[in-house]
Amino acid sequence: MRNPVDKEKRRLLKTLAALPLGAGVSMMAGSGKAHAEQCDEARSLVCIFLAGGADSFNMFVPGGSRYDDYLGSRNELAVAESDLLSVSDADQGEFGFHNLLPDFQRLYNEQRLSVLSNTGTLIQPTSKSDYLGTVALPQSLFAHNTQQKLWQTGAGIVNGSTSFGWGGAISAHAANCNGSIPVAPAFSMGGSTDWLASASTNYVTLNADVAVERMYGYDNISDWIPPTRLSGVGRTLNELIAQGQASSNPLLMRGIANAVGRASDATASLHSALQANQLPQMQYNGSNKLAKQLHLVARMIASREELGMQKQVFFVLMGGWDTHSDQLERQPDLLNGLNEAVNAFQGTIDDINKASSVTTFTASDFGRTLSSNGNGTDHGWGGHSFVFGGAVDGGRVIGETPDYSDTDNPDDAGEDDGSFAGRIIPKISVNQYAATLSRWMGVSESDLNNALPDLQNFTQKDLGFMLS
Amino acid sequence: MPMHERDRCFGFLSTATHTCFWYGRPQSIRLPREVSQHSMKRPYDSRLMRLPQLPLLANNRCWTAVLLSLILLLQACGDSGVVIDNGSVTGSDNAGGGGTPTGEDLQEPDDGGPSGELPPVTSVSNLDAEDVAASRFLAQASFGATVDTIAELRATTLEEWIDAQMILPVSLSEPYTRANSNGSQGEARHEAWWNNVLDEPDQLRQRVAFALSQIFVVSDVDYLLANNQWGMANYYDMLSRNAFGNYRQLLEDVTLHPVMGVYLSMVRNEKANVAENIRPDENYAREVLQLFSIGLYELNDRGEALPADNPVPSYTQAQIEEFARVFTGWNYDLVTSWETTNLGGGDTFTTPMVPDERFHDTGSKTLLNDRVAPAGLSTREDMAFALDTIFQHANVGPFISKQLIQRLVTSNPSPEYVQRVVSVFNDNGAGERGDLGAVVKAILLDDEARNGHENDPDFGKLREPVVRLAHVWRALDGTPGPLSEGVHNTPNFTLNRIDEMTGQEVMQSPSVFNFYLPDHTIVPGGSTLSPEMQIMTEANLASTHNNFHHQVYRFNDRSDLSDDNPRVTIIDLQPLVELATDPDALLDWYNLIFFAGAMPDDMRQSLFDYTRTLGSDDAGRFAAVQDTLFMMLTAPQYHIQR
Repeated sequence: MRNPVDKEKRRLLKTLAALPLGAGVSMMAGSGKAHAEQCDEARSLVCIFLAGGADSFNMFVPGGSRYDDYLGSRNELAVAESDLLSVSDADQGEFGFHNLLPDFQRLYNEQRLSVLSNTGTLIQPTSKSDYLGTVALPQSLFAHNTQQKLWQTGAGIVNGSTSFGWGGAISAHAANCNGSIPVAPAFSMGGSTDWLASASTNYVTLNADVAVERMYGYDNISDWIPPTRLSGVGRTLNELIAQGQASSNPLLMRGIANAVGRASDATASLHSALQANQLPQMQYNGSNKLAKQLHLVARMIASREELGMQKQVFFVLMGGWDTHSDQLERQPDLLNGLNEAVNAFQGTIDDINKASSVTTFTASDFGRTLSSNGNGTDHGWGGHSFVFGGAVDGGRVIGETPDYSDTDNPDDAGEDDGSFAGRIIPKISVNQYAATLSRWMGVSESDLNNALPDLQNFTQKDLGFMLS
Repeated sequence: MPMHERDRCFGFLSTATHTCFWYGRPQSIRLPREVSQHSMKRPYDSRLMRLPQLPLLANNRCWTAVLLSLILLLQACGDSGVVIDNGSVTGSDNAGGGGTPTGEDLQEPDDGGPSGELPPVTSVSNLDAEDVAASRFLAQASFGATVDTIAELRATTLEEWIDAQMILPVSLSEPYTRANSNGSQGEARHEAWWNNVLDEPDQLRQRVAFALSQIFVVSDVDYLLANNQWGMANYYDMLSRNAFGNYRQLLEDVTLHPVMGVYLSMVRNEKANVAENIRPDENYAREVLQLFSIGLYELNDRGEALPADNPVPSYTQAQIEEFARVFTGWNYDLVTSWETTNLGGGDTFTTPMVPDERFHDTGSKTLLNDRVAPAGLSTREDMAFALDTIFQHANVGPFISKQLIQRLVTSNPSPEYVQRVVSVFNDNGAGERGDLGAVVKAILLDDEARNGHENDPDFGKLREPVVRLAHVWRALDGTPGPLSEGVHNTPNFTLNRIDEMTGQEVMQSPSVFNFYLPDHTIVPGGSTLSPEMQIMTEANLASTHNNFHHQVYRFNDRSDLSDDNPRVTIIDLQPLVELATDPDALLDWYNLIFFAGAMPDDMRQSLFDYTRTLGSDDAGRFAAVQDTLFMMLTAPQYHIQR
């Protein structure tokens, strides 16, 4: 049997060693004590990333006279006015959710969901003449991977020094609050993501389709290795990891060795906490991959105390939104899946009495063109996002409703030649959205400004959709 | 590669408890019936040629057979002789010293469990440099080295081997997929692919085709393609056929393939309808530029987008819209009309798309480099003009070459290496641009590919999970389980689902951006690239680790299938158990086959030390093989291909 002291030593050693390779010694001890009040409240933030560029203009539709503009631009792709689930905003009047998003409407009416109108990547406030002029624009507009990266990093250009995510800045703060526990406070159920990339803390990627299983051979786990050999195997496996992590090794070796060490640590720590919090009350169709991911998130949130985590950050991902073709056929499954997952998740969070400490928001590569390519839409720019939870000042449409018309549209990022695609220039920057959410998680103003350098270009640095 | 030993007889005569073995060549010598003969085309190590020790033989029921074998071998091999090394079998074994082991040493009663503290002994590696070089090459040019392929390669030169590979018949996926799937069952396509990469000789072609499938990406995660597996298999075979052909032809075959037509919605893309505010679909137009040919930014021949902090875009949105107009008017062949929703059978997805001029935009289009496709071209002429324009863009060489280098050799090729390969892409020496066979050869024979590991600590790449699994099965003679009907399976997942375990499975990526991006870095914010790191997530690492655990501990013995799943592929540990008499020999075998000589010394010593806690009887040797193999396969060190 392995000496438990060895195990602790190993954990500590690995946790320190598993910091990103660039992290200096000072970072290991935390970059200074966070203000107590910024850590006092237990909080979890969940990003639902709609990969591929969600057609959010069909998820949330303007009512009244602006509906006609929308219909004129969208033609056969438009949601029928009679199908819309109507809601209203005190300042901006009537709107409607897509009829397959009934629980978005419900949460909106319960004042627990707000809409971020026409949000997207921006370096600075940008008008159509700016777009056609010389103002700095986000790099490689309309390209999936670049726009995903810019959304997730809050940067205007893809560049090594700005490739850390604003979720990563939140998780660095969370790690500070959480103190010395072996597992990072940031989790992705959607694979590797720039959003959680950070210079000072890691994130853990879990697969919601497969139970979090412990790794055989470590920690005396295996039904197949005889007990007389098992401790020696475990010791040697750990030796090999430590050897790979040696600072004299090339980056490639250290990177993969840290990842293997992190996998062993994280699965060991999470396994028992998750076993204790199955949350069987969260019900959904088994093929709903987003709901599955959010189920695991809910279990991690329910395990917050057991894991010793005061703050947590989560990234989940739903693919399939790149609806260039057959949009009317593809959209129902997407919207049904999203609605079911959001409803089941928020219901479960309510059920475990954590509604006021969990906020969930959506993001996507970009919005899509207002105009049709025949039976689908192409890559656009701005789009609507949704934020919900008990701490959200809900029932509001944040930001200006864009112009939906197909002629002389001042919000259309196109040439001044009469052509119209309907790639809508965003009015709210990702930076403003990110800052508002980060602040709620307790990130300090100075850390915010470091993480979101373009925030200074916008007057309104907090969009005010969080209650506290 | 000089073959001064090729005519010699060599091998390993061994006497296990119940069997006598001859591992070696020639196999044609008829040895006594008691001697089980196994192919080993080359010794992995000069010390291999050792005769069993007499003290052991004395108690062995096949000693006469072994002695007779020796006589037969000596007769058959004539003047060149049998290479014999009977002196170093215990150079650093559990007895703790050199010299010939005594029967006593080897008879320690033990259940395979640990023994007491032993004095330190240093593990010593003794590998043949040319074997190592061959193994390194095969890690880049095949689905991993095996004893046999190292021997084959050493019997020729690298260039001759490449030339021979390139004219081998193409192993196909489609025939098997047609025979075993109605089109909706995805398993067959995966079974065919795995059987090809595990067993078929056209290794280089299959490895390059797999690389191409990660550049010209289609994925049956798309719901329509999931039900058209004949087409998916046909698409892969198209990549295989073009692997050593010309890039221009490949680009056209990709463009007109109905599977790509569906995946990036080019099929039935119509010219604009201004009245209804409908524009042509930009999907294929954008991705053919961004992902299949020139990329986002202007590149020099060294593969660099400069200035690094503000690279120059290689195309504009307006140009995308022009290309979108080019790619209008293509319909499925074998359907009755443009509009019909009846797409017929699976053959529709194995037959290139065909033009329907009514839906083609015949106006002029301004494409790249100010090239203007004149008005009035037919659907096919327009497509050809556009692909010619793309093909002539200076980015294609660096964009494609660098990614192929990353897939085969190293994640961070030097700009000079890229430039040398690009010059071959641009002109193969006979005036031809885009000769992929010449490019592949230039990539593999380049001095940096062959010797980069000597100079650059970050040379190499993380092994792709699928290649890693294929290598393990190839090296350890993975055989489909007895009830599997010849189909391979991992202990935990069927092959069509191993992306849930590894993050990778052929033509099953989450999007057209492949399993990982070519510019993914090993650490956030760094500059050292490691695309594969993007899928080395905690979940994938844990899942893969446990899968190898089950492979090594449960599915390792063809003669004992008492386990619960007779469909799982079984590896063969017996040859390793033979080697494990000498732990250094076992570690040398791992180091040669799995590490191409790059196993770090401290790792080797740790594994060696571990074996010394085990007994030296059959049980102890079997335990040593199982435990060291499991630890070696799952260690961070083995994730790296140097």
